[in-house]
Amino acid sequence: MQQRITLERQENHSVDVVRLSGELDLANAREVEGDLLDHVAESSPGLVADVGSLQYVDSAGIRLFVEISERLRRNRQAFALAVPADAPISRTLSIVKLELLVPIHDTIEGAAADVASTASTF
Amino acid sequence: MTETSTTDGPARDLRALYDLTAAVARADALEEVYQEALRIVASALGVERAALLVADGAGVMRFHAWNGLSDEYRARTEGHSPWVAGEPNPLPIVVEDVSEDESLGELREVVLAEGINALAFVPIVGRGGLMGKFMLYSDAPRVFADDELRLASTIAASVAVAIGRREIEAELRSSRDQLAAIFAAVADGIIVFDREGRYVLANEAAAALSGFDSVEEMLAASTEGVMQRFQILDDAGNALPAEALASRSVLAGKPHAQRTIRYRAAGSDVDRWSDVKSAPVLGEDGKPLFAVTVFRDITAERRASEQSELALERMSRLERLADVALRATTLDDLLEELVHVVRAALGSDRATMLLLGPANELLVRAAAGIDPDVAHGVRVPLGEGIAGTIAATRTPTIIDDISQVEPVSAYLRDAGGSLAGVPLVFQDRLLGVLHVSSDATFAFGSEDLEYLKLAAERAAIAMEQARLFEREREIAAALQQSLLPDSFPPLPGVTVAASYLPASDGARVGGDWYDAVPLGDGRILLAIGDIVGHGIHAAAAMGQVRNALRAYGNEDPSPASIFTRINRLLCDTAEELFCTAFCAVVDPWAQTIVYSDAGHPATLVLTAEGEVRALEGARSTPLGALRGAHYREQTEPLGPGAIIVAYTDGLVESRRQPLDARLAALREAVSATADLPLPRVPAALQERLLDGGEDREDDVAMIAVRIDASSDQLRLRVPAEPHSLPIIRGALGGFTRRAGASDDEVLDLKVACGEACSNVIEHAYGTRSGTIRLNVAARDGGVAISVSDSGRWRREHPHGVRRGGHGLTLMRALTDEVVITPRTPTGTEVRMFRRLGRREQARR
Repeated sequence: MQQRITLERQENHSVDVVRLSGELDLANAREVEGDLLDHVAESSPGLVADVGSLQYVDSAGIRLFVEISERLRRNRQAFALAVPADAPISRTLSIVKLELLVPIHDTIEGAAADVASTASTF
Repeated sequence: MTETSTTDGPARDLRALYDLTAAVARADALEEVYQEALRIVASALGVERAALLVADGAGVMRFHAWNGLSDEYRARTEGHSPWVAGEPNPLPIVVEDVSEDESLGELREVVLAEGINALAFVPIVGRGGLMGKFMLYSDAPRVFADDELRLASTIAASVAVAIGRREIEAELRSSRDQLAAIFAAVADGIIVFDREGRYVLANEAAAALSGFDSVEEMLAASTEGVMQRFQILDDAGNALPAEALASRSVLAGKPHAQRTIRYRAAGSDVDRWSDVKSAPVLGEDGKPLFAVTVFRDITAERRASEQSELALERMSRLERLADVALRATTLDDLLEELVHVVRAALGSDRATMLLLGPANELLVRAAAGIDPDVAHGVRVPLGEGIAGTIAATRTPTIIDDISQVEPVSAYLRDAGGSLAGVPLVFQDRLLGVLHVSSDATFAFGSEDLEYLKLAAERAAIAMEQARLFEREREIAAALQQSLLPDSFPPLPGVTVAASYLPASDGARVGGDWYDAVPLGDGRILLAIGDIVGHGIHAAAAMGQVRNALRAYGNEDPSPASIFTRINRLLCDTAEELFCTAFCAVVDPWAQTIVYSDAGHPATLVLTAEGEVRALEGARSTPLGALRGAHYREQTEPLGPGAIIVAYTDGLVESRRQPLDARLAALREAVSATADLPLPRVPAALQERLLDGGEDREDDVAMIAVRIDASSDQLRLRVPAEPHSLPIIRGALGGFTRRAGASDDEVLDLKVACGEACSNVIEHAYGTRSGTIRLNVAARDGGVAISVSDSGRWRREHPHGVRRGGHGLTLMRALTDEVVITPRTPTGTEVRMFRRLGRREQARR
């Protein structure tokens, strides 16, 4: 089967940043969860998922973000999404009002700062 | 000087001659003759001393008889001759007074010292000239009268004759001795027949060859009696009439006769050969008096030449056997030809090759001289009958009389006769039996068995080779079959049919391949290729390329990119691997085909309207040919109902027709399949394009793909599994884009539809498998989507109410209408409608 999603670690950030490209759906959400969490070190403040290049996300993907956020929080780590307003999936995310559950920022830096500061409050 | 007194001149002469003649007649040896002659001449001439000298082989005069001469004198005068050796007409020479004659030269002293004062030299002249001399000595000087000299000469002449005759006699005796020696010692038989054909003379050899213990015994027997002891035949084996015998011919007047006879002693079965020559001895009347026949036994030579003829015959039989192996193209041909060659070579009535079958029975594989129906029915259990025993004991066997054994096969029983057979064995494995049989008993010998062994070896080797070859072919065919299925699992949006026909001779299995792979997003990766090469290696290489194509296709479904990578892969392998190929990504929803062609015959498209066009927009070099080759790809529309026909050149290559003609024929054939159900298309094309009887030199592979997706409706039946979601998205995207939706609208529709489908996947069927039915239509200025299933929804989880579920929210937000209808007895249908062209809608 075609690889429909790719994860790419982004360096030079104070927190763990992973870029997701491709499509995130019910078919690959479970797998992506595990891969994403692998990128988060024990001592890291948290994770930023850069989803600006995602072409598609469905409710299963959204559920994934929520679950990651909860799991990291249990570990006193923070999670945030970096999504530019004109990104393909931004409309989907805003319809479900995900920002109420997971911090969404326009830029990676913004998301990273959010993660860092949130983590310090744990 | 004293006068010689004679009694009477003539009387004296006569008496002298008479005496001499008598003496000569009496004498046994020449020496006696010499003595007598000397006495007579001395007496007749009244000389006290005389000598007779004869020239030896070197012409030197030697004393043979003398009286009154000292040894010294003889020693000193021997060899001296007043005449030249060989002088033809020497005359007597007289020295009447030695002391006054100068002619003696140095010898005068010697002569005088001996007391000789007069001497006469009288030549003895024979046929060969001067043979010797008489020496007549007188103590006192004297005159030798003419008549005295004449008498002496006459006596000398007689002596000469006597010597001559003695020589002849000696020669005669010596030659007769020689003859006797030859006669006795020679291996050839010599027989002298008289006029009446009776034996006159025979030698030991003749007697021995004729079966007599001695010559006497033979001579005592009659000719007829001897002839009866033998059966005499001519060289060809026909009885020889007596007249034809050499001796008879010659006695009948032929100047000479020669013939070769073949004979055997009565009661013996051993043939002998004789070379017989006969010559006549003619009598005074010119008619044959005797026949002298010499016969020489040439049995040994004959046998040797028969042997070498036999050897030549054997050589040519062996050459014919070798020829068989070279000429035959299939194992069946080889075995057929082998039995025929064996039969001809051994001159048997029949030759049969039996092979061991699965039930441990010998069955006829090839036969010469037997009715095919009869051969077909032969079944010889291992260990039984003749062939069965030869096989079980693995022993080469000659059966001189079949009626003495128990053959299983009726045809052997009925024919009787004799048989020679050998087992067919290869490296310890018993393969069968090869035997020859004839109606005559005792027809085969050890040499025939040796020949059969050789033929059996040939056959065994050929069969083993064929078995290995067949095995390899089977493996290659199985490999190919597993990789080249005739049918494909159903793929959404398309129907695929394919066929593969290996080349006729089976030696070229392995080069062609095809593949149709769903990419998981509704698109199909289609490929066909032809690897240069045959057999197992080509089949394995073909598998490699196929796998690489799938792998690369999943990573990046771009035909150009796929080809670039495969080309690099093939160029980098150590072996020269070379491949033509066609690769395409078919999107039945977007109704496009993106393709690339690497030196492959142009793939055809048969449109729904019946037109045939070729996909020629992106041609490049074959894969593995040029490392830096550049591969392009071309996108073309593909209407619903269009059929893509890809094939390998075995379909169009023909030695009998030019390529253009074949391509035109292909187009016509494709066009003619327009109304056929797709699964029948490949077979129909083969039928039209391939000559049923013609030998296929090359494999023929074909794959046909029909675009089922229609333009105005998207109908999809996919498994209710997560992996169906990308397919649905791909199909929906293609369809809605064609319906005029913008990118945002397409994405919205994908999300909405995806949610409805995800619900079905997660909740409709529980642990069972089920199907999602998707129908999408473009109408009323928008897109209408229907997602239905036939599952039993769990009541606790009606659509949309899920832990953290956002599905319904998204469906409602992204479409204008959402209607969820439970279906009876089971299942649900979700219908959604979205008007196109209203951006605000998307931002709600």
